[in-house]
Amino acid sequence: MPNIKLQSSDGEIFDTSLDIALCSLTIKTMIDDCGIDEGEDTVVPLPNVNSTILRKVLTWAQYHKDDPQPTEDDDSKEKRTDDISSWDADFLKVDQGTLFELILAANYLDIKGLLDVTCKTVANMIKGKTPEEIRKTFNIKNDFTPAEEEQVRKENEWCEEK
Amino acid sequence: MSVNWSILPNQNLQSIFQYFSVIEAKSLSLVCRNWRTEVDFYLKDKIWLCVDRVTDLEYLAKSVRRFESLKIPFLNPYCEYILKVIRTLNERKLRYVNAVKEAHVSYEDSKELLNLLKTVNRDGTLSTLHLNLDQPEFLDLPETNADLNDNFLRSVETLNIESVSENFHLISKYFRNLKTLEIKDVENELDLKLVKTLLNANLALQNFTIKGYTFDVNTFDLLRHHKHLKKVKVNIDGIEDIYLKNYTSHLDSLDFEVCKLLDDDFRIIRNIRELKELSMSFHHDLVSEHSIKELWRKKNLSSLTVDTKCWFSMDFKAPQLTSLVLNKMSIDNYFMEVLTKSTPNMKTFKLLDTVFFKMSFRVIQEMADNWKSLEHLDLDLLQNLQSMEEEKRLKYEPSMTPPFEKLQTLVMGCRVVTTPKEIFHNLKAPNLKELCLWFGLTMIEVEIELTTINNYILEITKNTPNIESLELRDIRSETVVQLCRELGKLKSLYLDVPSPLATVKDVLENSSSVNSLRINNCSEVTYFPDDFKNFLFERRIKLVHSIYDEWTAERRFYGDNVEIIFGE
Repeated sequence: MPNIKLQSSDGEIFDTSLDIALCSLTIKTMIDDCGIDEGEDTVVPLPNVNSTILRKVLTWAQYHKDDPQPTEDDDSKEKRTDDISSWDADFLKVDQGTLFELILAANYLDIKGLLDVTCKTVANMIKGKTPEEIRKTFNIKNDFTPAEEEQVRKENEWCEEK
Repeated sequence: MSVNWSILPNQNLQSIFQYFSVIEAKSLSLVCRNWRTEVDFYLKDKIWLCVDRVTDLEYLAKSVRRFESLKIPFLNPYCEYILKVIRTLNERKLRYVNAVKEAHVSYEDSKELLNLLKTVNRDGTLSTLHLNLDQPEFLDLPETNADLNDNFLRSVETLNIESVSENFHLISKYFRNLKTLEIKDVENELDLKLVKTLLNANLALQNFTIKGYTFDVNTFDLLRHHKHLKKVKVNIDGIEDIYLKNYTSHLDSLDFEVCKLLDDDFRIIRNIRELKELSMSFHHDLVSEHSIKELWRKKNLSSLTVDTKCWFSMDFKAPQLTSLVLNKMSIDNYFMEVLTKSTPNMKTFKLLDTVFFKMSFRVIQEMADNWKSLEHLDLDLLQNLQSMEEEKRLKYEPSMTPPFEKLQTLVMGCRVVTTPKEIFHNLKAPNLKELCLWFGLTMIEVEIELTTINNYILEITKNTPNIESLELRDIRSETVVQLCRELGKLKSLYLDVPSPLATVKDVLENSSSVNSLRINNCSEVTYFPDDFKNFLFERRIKLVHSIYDEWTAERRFYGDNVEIIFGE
C-alpha cells in the first residue's frame, strides 16, 4: 500500500500509509473527488487538525485499520457506553482539551469509530452527575435565568418516554 | 487545558446525547441553554407530551418546545382541568401541537372529542390514532360536516378502535388513507356491507384485524376482491379449503382459529407464497405428519404460532423460523433438544399453557447452546409435573451452562417445587433488560415458600445485572431494597406487595435509577398518612389523577422524574 502525506494546521507533514489515511472518509473523498493523485507526492492539507491531535488520530487509525466497517445495523443497535475496549480506554486517558479536540477532529475527518468512542467516553463522564456537577466538570456556565430553569423543569415533568 | 464544552458543535452534542436515556437526557437539558435546545431536538420523537401532567397554562403558552406525540388520558366530564389544557392548546394554537404524529385519546363526549382532534391534527400530521371510545359518533356530528372538509383525518394511517356500530361507514368517509385498522371487539354485530364499503373505500388498507367477530364464507369472500390486504387477523368458523385457496393467496400474515383443518388446507396454506407469519388453532386432528412437517419447512415462513396438533418430531431443519409460539404442548427434555437443533435462528420463543414432563435444567441448556440469537423467552412452567434431579441428564455442570448473550426479555411463570432450582442459580443473561417472574402458589404455599421465592429472585438477578424492568409478585420488602441497591440500571418496577406505601419509600430511598413504579392490588389504599404525604412532598411528587369507575381504580403520582401508580 503506497504512502500519503498529510499536513496538519500547524504545518507538520505526516507521511502515512494510505490504508490508514483512508479510515477518514473526508480524506477518501478528497482523493476520490478532488483530483488528489495518490501516486504523486501530493500533500493533503488538513487545516482543522493540529499536529498533536493528528498524531493521536493516526495512532488510533493504525490500531483500528483492520476493524470491520460500521454498518447500518450498528446504528440501529442499542447505544451502550460500557463496551469501550481496554486499548481505546487507555488511548483516551487524556486531558479534556485533547478529548474535545479529538471529537472535533473525528467529526471533521469523518472517522465514525473514533467519533463513537470519544463520544462514549464523554457520555461516561456525564452519566450519574447532576446538572451542576456536569457544569463544573465541563466548565459550562449556567446561562439560564431562574424563570427559564423553572420552565425547563416543568416542561420535563410534562413528558414521559414513549 | 480548560475547555468550554458548551461550544461543542451541535452535531457532536447529538452524538453524545444518543447514549442517554430519556430520563437522563431531561437532566442534561438543565445544564445550559445550548444543551437544552439540543436535548429538546433529540427528544422530540422519543417522548409523549402527557396532557394531564401540564400544571401551568402560563408556562405552556410560553413553551417553544416541539413535540411529535400527545398522550391524552382517559377523560370524563369531571376532569375539568385537563379539558382546560386541551382548550388552551386549541385556542392559542401553540407551536408544538403542529407536528403531532400519534395520539392516544379516550373520551366520552363526542363534541369535545371533535375539538380535540381538530387541535391535534390541525396541520394534518397525525398518522396514528388510538381511539378508546364506544362509538365513533363524533364523525356523525353536524359540526364534523360543517366545519371540516373530507381531508380532516386523511393523514391517519393507523386507527385502533374499541368497537363499532352503525356509524362504522363513517370510518370509510374520513379515514381514506388507512393502512392499518384494528377493531378490538365487534361482538358479532358487524354488518358485512359496512365492511365491504370500508374495504372498497380504503384501497391502501394492508393490515386488518377484527376481534370478536367470526368470518363466515361471505365475509371471507371479501378478501378475494381486496388484494391490497396483506395481513389479516380473523376468526373463522368451519372454513372449507376452497375459501383459503381462493381468498388468501396474496396475504403475508394470517391469523385464524378454525374447527377443522385437513391435509388439503395445509397444502393451500403452504402455497400462499408470500406468507411470512402464520398463527392458527384447530380442533380436529385430521392432518398427516407429512403435511405438518412441510408446513414447518415452508419457505419464507418466519413466525409460527401453533398448538399441540401441529407437532411431530422434527428430523429436519427449519432455519427460516425466527419466532415460535407453542400452545398446549406436552414437552420433555428430548423435545427441546430436537426443537432447538432444528431451529437454530430462533429469536422469540413462547411456551404457553404447556405441560412439562420431568423437566430438568437441560431444557435451558439446550436453548442456551443452540439458540444463540434468542432475544425473547416466555416460559410457562406452572404445569411442570416433576423436577428431575438426575444431574447425569444435564448437558454440562450447571455452572458451565453458556450465557444467553442476546436475551433481552424473560417472562417465566413457575412453581417452587417442580421448577429446577438451577434456573435461578445458573441461567445467565448478561444483557437481559426485562424480567417478569411469578410463582403459582396456593395460600399455604405462600407461607411456606416465601423465603425460597425471595432467594430465587435475588439469585436470578445476580446473573442478569443489566435489568431495566422488573415485574414481580410475592416479594418481601427487604428483597425490594436489595434489588434497588444492586441493580443500578433498574428503571421500571411492577410489584404486587402487601405494604405499598412502605414499598414506595423503600424504592425511592434505595434506588436513584427507578423512574416508574407501579404497585398492584392496592385499590383499597384510600388514606395516605401524614408521614407518607410529607415524604412525597419532600420528593416533589404530586398526585396527577385518580380514576375510580367501574373499570379502573388508579391513583397516579408524578414528580422529580418519577411516576408512581397505585393500581387495582
